[in-house]
Order: sequence, then structure tokens, then C-alpha cells
Amino acid sequence: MKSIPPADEARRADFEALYQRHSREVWALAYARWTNADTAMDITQEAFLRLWKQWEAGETVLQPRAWLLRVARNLAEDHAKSAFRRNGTHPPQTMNGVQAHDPLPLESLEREETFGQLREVLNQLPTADREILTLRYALEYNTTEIADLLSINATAVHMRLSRARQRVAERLKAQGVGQLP
Amino acid sequence: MSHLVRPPTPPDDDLDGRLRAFYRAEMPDPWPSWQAPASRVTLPARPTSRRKGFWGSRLALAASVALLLGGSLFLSGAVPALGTKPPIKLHGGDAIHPKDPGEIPGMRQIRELIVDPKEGTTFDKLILTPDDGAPIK
Repeated sequence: MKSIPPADEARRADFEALYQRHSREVWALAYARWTNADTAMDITQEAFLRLWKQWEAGETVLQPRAWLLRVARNLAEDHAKSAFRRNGTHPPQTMNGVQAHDPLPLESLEREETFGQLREVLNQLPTADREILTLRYALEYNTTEIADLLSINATAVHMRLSRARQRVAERLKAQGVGQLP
Repeated sequence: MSHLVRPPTPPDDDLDGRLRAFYRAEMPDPWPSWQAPASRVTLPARPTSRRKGFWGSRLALAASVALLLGGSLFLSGAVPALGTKPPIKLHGGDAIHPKDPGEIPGMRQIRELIVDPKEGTTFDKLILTPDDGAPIK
């Protein structure tokens, strides 16, 4: 069996740590664009695969977080028109880490319906609203963390979050959505 | 046994709860781990030099323009085609042919303009005669 050289092993470990640190943020931004968990995960894996290729080629990425977020945004924007949407840009065997999350556990129909309505409402919001909601509620980021990631100040975070919540509440109310079961 | 009685939740808290529950349900669970591709990924070869590509494209552009101009000149007849004889110039019936023998010592040249009445074309007839005598045709 072919053994992995220690340098390669260390590099893989470093990359794995980087993935654990930033992959949820990348996913959150991609999810905010498409409101689709699987698509967001595809984009996340693609962004990390591209970063891995940079590492493999010996190119230094000084700010991998910013690099990943930028690439993920571009991939998310290109997703609609690119072949990547249909086939991905790499053969399946290179996407070893990709696995779709299991289907949602069977919830009550009422709960599913409420989530469906919420999804519909979120789809009507601007991407900026969805970004801030995703970071707040999916990643449980506080104001400082959101401000840091989006490169805006704390006041802007408060304002955007408040407006986004208000829009969601108004639209849900207009749809007559009741209490979550 | 004690029962915790929850106070009625204000609408905003309910919205927070809904959003939190929704997003948590959307997030992949368990979170997929990263596994690097098994084989070393090779990037496609880049051009060795950007300048080479720059000049290469400029050269191709210049060649295209030259070809275009040359073609248009050729088609307009400004440039004689290769392998064709130079045109015979007719100026008032005085045809000049490149094989005109020119001055020959002891000979006299007589030129006659012949008109073909059917075709309406003209051509030059060159008659050489000795200085002293009858014409040689």
C-alpha cells in the first residue's frame, strides 16, 4: 500500500482544519443565494477543491477565508448559467468529500408546510437579507462575527437584520402562517 | 414532579424560533468532511510567457490585415497577377510589344495599323525592309 509522505499528510491535515473552520460560512453564503442546501454544498465543495488545487500547484493564498468567500460568491452567481450546474467542473471521483445530507426526518405535515412557506418568503427577499439571516440563524453568528464576514459595521448589521426580520414577519403574516408546531 | 410552564412567547421570539428551526433543518447534518482528491490534481499548462501570447496575437492581426489588403488589391487589378504577360499598350494605334526588335542596322521598320472590321479590334503590323529595297513580310 502506498504511504502518504509526512509533508503531504500535514498539508492535508492543515487543509482539513481550514475546511472545518470556514466551510459553513461558505455554505451559508451560497445557500443565501439559492436557498437550496444541496446546491450550496456543491458550491462549497467546488470552492474548496479549487483552493486545494492552488495548494497543490504550490501557489500561496494569503487570505484563504476571503479567497473562499469570493470564489463561492462567483460560483453561486455563475451557477445558473454554467455547465457546473449540470455536470460540475470535475469528474465525480475527485469529489470524494461530497455527500448530500440525508433527507429531512419525517416531520409533521404542518411543520413541512410551514417551512415551505418560510422558504417561499425567503426566496422573495433580496440576497443581502438572506445572507444576514443565514449567518444569524444557521450559523448562530453574533453581530461582530457577521460584521467581520460581510465587511460592514455593527450598526449596519443590526439595521439589516432588523429589516430582514421585519420583511419576513410581514410576508408570513400576509400568508396567514400560524404558529410553528 | 415539577412542570415548567412556558410564558406565552411574543411574536418576535416565535419568528426567531421559526427561522432557527428552518435553517437548522436546512444545514447538512452531519457536516460532510473534506477528503482531498486521491491523485495530485494537475492544472492545465499555462502559456510560458504572456508577452509571447501578446506578440503572437498582434502578429496574427497584422498578417490578417495584410492578407485582406493584398486580396482587395489583387481583385481590383491594381497588382498584375503572377504568370501573366504584361498588357500591350495601345496609344493611338501605336502598339508597343515587348518583343519589338528595336533598331536593326541596315533595316527599316514600317508599322501599319490593321483594323479588324468584324471584331472591331486593332493590332500592329511590323514590316521590316532593307534600307535599299523591297519590303520583307
